Amino acid sequence: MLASLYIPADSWLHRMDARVKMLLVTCGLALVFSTGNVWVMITIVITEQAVLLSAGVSGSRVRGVWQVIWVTVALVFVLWVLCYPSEGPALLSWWRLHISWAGLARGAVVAVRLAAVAFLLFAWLFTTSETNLILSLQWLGLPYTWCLTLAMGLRYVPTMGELFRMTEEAQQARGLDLSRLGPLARARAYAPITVAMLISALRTATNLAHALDARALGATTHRTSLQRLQIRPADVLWAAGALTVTAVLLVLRFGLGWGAAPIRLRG
Amino acid sequence: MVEVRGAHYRYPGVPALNGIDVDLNEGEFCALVGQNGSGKTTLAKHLNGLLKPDAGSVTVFGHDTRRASVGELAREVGYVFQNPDHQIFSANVRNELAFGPRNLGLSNGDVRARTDEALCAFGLEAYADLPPATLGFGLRRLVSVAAVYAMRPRLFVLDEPTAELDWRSAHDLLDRFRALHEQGHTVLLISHDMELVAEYAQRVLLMRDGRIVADAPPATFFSQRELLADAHLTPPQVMRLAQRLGDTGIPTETLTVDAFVATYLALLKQRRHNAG
Amino acid sequence: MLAIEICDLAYRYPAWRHDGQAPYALHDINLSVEAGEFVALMGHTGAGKSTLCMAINGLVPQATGGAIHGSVRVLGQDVRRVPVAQLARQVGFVFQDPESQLFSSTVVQEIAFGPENLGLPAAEIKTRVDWALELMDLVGLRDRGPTQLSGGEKQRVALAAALAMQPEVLVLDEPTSGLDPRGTAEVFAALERIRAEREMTVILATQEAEQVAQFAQRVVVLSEGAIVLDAPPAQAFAQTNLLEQAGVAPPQVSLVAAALNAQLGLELSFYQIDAAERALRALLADPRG
Repeated sequence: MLASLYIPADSWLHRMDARVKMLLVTCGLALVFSTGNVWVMITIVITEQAVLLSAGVSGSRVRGVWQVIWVTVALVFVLWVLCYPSEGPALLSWWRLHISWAGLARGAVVAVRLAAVAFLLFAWLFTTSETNLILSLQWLGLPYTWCLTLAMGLRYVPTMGELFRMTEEAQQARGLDLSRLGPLARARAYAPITVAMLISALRTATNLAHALDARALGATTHRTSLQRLQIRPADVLWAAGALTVTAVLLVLRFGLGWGAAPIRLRG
Repeated sequence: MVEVRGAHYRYPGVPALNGIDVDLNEGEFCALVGQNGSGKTTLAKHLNGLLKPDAGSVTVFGHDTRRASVGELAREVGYVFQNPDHQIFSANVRNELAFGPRNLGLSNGDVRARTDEALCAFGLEAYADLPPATLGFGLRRLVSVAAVYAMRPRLFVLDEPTAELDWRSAHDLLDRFRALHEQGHTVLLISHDMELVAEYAQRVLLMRDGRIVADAPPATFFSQRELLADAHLTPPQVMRLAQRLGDTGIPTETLTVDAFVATYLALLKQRRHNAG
Repeated sequence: MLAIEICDLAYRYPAWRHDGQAPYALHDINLSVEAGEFVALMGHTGAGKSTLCMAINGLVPQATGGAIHGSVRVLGQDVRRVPVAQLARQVGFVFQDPESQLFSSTVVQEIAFGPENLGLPAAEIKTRVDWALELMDLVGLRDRGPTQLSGGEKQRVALAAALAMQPEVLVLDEPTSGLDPRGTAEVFAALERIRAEREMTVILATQEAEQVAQFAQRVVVLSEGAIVLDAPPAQAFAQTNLLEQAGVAPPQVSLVAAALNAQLGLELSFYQIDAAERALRALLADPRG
């Protein structure tokens, strides 16, 4: 699993002010949810891959994200195509099933949209340190304890992943042979693993609460910060650029209807 | 009998085993030592099939671990993990101990018998109906060991079983394993505690950077000062004392307090005899 | 003023079942610690060392609940009343498990967390962080993430994080019990540097007898929730029978001294290896003496 969500590096994306990054993510989400066109969506995802790779995120990390999401993406695609009637000339028509190119494209849009959203969020989390994340959320007005909770939750995701793996190994070493079981039996067999893991997680959480107390969390109402967010000229350009591009694209989409239809780009 | 031939293993991006050749003989009490990151746990996990070598082979009691499943190997190899909380999940100690034998497919009668035996062997009868997660750390450690014991493996792999235990609990635990060893079980002990290694092990394997760099009985092992210093290991205090007093006639390979006292008294008696 | 004053302390954790009652984790605890003392706390697993440590910074009973009797005053403050976060200004704490006490994304941020909570100005925080990094020999690791550190490094970060609040009392609950020998050596070397740098009252719960012999001015042994021994190392380690009953191992040389005393009717009192060597050589040179 991912060793740690934040990947320390010194790339253009890492240097960007965390608040501007939030703005970019918001713009990205606006674009992702406004388009219904499969080519646009695929282009967005490809762009995101390029952004991640240029920001110092290794290929194996990117593959790691795909490993986590591909099953859901594929499942959504299949279910969408099967469950929603497609318009246009049919490719395949059988009983209630009516599949056309447009239908396939629409399914692809919904499915790939998931990947697009995932990569937006990962691009943000991979390149923003916990501190900057907290500071930017605080700037938005979120109380510090909420920000800390969120950031720590993220920090412990890989630890929990590691814990799951270790618990799985410990139970396998007691003869729990997962490889010999069918999918349903396997799901049931995970019960001891999940319970052991939950107990460990609760223990860790208690210890963590003690540690936070012991470091004076809550001692004062106005906590200060060693680091500070600083807007650079480059960040202003990024923000301005992102807002402009997004505005233009949204006008094209809602004003002229470009990128609305699943296959045809215009109208 | 465990045979490891030319085993190599990499975690993503990190080499962990760089060519291991070693045999463990049936009935040995062997210690595996080395710094964290030297490959001890990686090698240990190859013994019950949790990890399979990228190159080379590991054969345990005639099974090639690349072909056997972890479940099959669990019949012969009992792996006690460092953190007992990674395996404890049951509502009571009895069920916890029964988990292993049930996985092996034993009949209810057999499972019951094994559970009772394990409870008895580790002094856990009083706790049989309590949830193991609510017990203190020392007891949870005993529960996790008893749970592995209930599967009656031929080889016990103990991954730092005495970490965080006090001296007496640690000795109690290893005394039980010494008793099992005397009954014919093979024991591989991974530990950072050199005093325990000196006292219980018949053979010491030192790992460094994924290789075995020493393989000797404790007396010989702890005499190799440069090797130990390199590995950031220190011999037990009493052995260091014996080494310092080597010039007086104390054998420098004294491993335990009792041995030291015995030889010192003998030496003193001899001196008194010579003096008077 | 006494740094720590504990009178007739008894404590039990909340029971698991609402009809049941947990046994006393601590009882009849009377302990007075002067400012600047280094006290080692030893005892078998489950004797109450962690509970006693947490009673010094108020986690017991404020975070753990349960029932407490008697009084615990640290630097004049009643730990039952003063919030833990306030007590943390003066009592630094290092826990046993490095994994669940380091939660920031970098070492620097981890060390800064405490001072930030105290509302100190950024410049002051920076000074303290740099000082702590230097003292704990972590300067090269300042931008590393906690998951990339070795056990010894993690515990040094935890120490640095506690030190950055500049406490007067430092409590360490078995900081080396999960570490390899190198990590253990690193942590004790770090403690030595702290002692040289600052007058601090230190309470160290540990099983490492050899290190206790080297550092502690006082050894307190807990057994089944009560104090069974409270003496300087020389006296404490001589009582090998009591220690054995309490599940505590003194340094091996103390066991040698006790065995020789029993056999020969002597009164050897060494508990460290240098003194042991001298005494044993002297005895061999003059066997009749």
